[in-house]
Amino acid sequence: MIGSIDVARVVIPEVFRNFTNGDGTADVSAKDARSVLKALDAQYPGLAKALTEQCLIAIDGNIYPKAMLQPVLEESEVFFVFKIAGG
Amino acid sequence: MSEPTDYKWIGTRPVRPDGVDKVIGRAQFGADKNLPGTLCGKVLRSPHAHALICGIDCRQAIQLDGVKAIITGDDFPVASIGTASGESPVDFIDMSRNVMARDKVLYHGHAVAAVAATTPEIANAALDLIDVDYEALPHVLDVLEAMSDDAPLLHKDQYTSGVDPRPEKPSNVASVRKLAGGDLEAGFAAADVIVERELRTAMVHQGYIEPHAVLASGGKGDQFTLWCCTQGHFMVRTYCAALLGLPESQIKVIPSEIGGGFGGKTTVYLEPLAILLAERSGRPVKLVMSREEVFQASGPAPGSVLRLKVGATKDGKLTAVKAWLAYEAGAFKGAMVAAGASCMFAPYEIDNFLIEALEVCVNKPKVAAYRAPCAPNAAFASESVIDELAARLEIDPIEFRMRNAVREGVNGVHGPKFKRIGYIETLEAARNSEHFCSPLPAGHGRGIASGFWFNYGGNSSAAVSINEDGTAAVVVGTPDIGGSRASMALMAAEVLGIDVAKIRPIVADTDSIGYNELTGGSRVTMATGAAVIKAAEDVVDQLRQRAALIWDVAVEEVVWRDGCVIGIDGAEDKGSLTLQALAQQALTTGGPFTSQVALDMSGREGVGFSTHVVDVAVDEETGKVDIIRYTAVQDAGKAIHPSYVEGQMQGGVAQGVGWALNEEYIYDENGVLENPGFLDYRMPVALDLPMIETIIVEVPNPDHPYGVRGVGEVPIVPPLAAVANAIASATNVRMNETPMSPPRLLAALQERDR
Repeated sequence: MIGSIDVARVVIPEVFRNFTNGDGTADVSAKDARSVLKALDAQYPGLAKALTEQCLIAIDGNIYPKAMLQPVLEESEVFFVFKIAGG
Repeated sequence: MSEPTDYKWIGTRPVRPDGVDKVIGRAQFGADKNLPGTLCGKVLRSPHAHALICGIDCRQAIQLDGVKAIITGDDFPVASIGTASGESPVDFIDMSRNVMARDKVLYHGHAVAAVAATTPEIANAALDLIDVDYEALPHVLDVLEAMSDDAPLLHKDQYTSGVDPRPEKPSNVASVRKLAGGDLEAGFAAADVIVERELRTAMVHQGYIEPHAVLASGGKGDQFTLWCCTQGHFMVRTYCAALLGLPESQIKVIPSEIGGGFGGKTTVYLEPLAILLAERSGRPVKLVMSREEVFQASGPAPGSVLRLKVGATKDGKLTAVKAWLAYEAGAFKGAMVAAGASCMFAPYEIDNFLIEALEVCVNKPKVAAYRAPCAPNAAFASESVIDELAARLEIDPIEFRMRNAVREGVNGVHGPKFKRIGYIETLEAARNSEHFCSPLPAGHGRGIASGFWFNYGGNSSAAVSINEDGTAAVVVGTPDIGGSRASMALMAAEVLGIDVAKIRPIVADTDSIGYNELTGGSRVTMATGAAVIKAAEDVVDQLRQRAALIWDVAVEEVVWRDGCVIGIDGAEDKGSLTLQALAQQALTTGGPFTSQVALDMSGREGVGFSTHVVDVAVDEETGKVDIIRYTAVQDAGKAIHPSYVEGQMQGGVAQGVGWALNEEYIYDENGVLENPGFLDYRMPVALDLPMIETIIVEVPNPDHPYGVRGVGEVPIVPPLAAVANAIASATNVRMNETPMSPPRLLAALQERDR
């Protein structure tokens, strides 16, 4: 934890690692989904846009199609999953 | 979640509240609504697969006596690109051009104009008088041909997304999605056996029995009212408002009963046309698709080409997967190819993988969801190859799957760790089933396949109200396509502690209940059910507070038990009051009891797994396959109404068997659909199928109050491969293309014997 903000471990999908110089994970200070994206974009310009165009955010195993305020806790594991929809 | 084991209503099988109306013909479906002065709407559709529209002359048609309005693409405002609320992103420019072509038609059956007239005969005559000047263009129907450099281009402004760097030339490939992990080369190097295959599946249709239908009423400046059959009336409102530039408050949508959807009624086709025609004519307008139009111009499931290479060690451990999946998108992008890629090996723990999925535009109708979109295609490939690996390694197919099965805490190929899941439980239940333990009759083949689907949570609103006599109303905004009203009533009964027969669940229109996402993603019993549970719990709190007021005790001294308030902790002398007794004095003690709840259940859906066992007999003289016995096993989390869970499983199997054995869109050399009817598009009928046996496994979803998981989609995932594997077992011929129809199988048998 950094101050009152938690540090989340974000796993970068392999196909987006051209934004991260090959880094597979990023530790970001974030309290919710939108601040994860903001922190990622500060670290890796353009990554957040690419992720939101193609992906949904998954926090601790739960996939959120329209996540903004979903909380990210200390030691949360964050993934990005390609957009899906059902029938 | 709580896991009470003494449910009173959950898990019972009452008669569905809408059952009698449907049996005696009183239920109102999309085409049943009529208003005085209603006009008949008809759509003029393209005879070409791909052509420029050089001009549309409606002058003669509009002069025909009885014709009240004609619309073309010019009557639509310019739609903006945008993302609607809901499960999937929406491109309104594409949607607008799909419901009515603009400068060119992109598939046989593409709408080019619509007419409203006083009779069907006049409307048809008017269609004949509309003169469309086409300039035919070369077309492309095959997904591989559409990817070639010299293929006819459907959209000059479409550049493949998901590739780096951004392409310099436009392409029919709308998008590429890649899942990757581990070291592919090392994974294959560690394999003792490698199977490499190319498979194909045909474009198929959901085959819902009720064609699309809508009645629109209202004029310029009025609120338009739509009656239509849809999986989501809020979706219809949102999409029509966006396509026509109207505020959502100016559109009210009343959902009819629905004769099947399966994902095919998750968008709009006729609805915006009906509003425009009603506005132009000043009269109510009804449009009903013919079956031919449903096949030509609604949203089938994509055909695909699937290339797959899988390695395993001799003790049956998967080491590497390389897959390339090319799906037809139809005329516009939007096929959920990432779902196919993500579901393909979701049941298995795999360290080294590369799964690449492409959506490719071709001159066919824009695809839509079909239960679990794109997953059956992918599972046809993966589960066929899994079966082949197991056979080559002489390992029982269920045991092979067990050795590689995902469980809680394991990362799926899509990325995140699975939470509590029931895949292994489905395998165990299949292995212990009477079916699997029964000897296989001579000459028959037995196939196994598994499937995965994510399910979806989403947003739902629901209301619960107590009537004056102690009965209750449950109001939801998600159309009931699979018995969900019965499940809503059961969940409310469980919370309220009253007989389920005293609860009337209804689906309300867009003005009468808060926003709801559509019925899709297997979400309604889970998400809308959670809203019903919470609303009922809120009503129970109100009942406790009222009893505390009546008894003049603290609310903490009042508990809810078996449909009664009971005094405790010093208030025992107050005895009890039933819900009915409280309801009868509601208006004199503080007012009626009611609650409306809105919930976002995203991320709480609970994924679904299934495993199927099928026995087939193959007539080696004709290539005909008979399904002799079929057992579907599925993790439902908690079956609220087991009959409707079983119904979903059986329906998914029936449709999957049709997909496997007979169904396909057949186009001629001009790109004209040749089999737009049930005589030529061969869906299974009752005589084609045995009674499909079901085994419900219940591994509770930890994120739902009763442990519910979605159940409607995953049962269509395994059948294609299960049937193919059974055919391989019976004939030693492995079929790599659907439909595995008699002529195709006969040719393969002859090849085997050559």
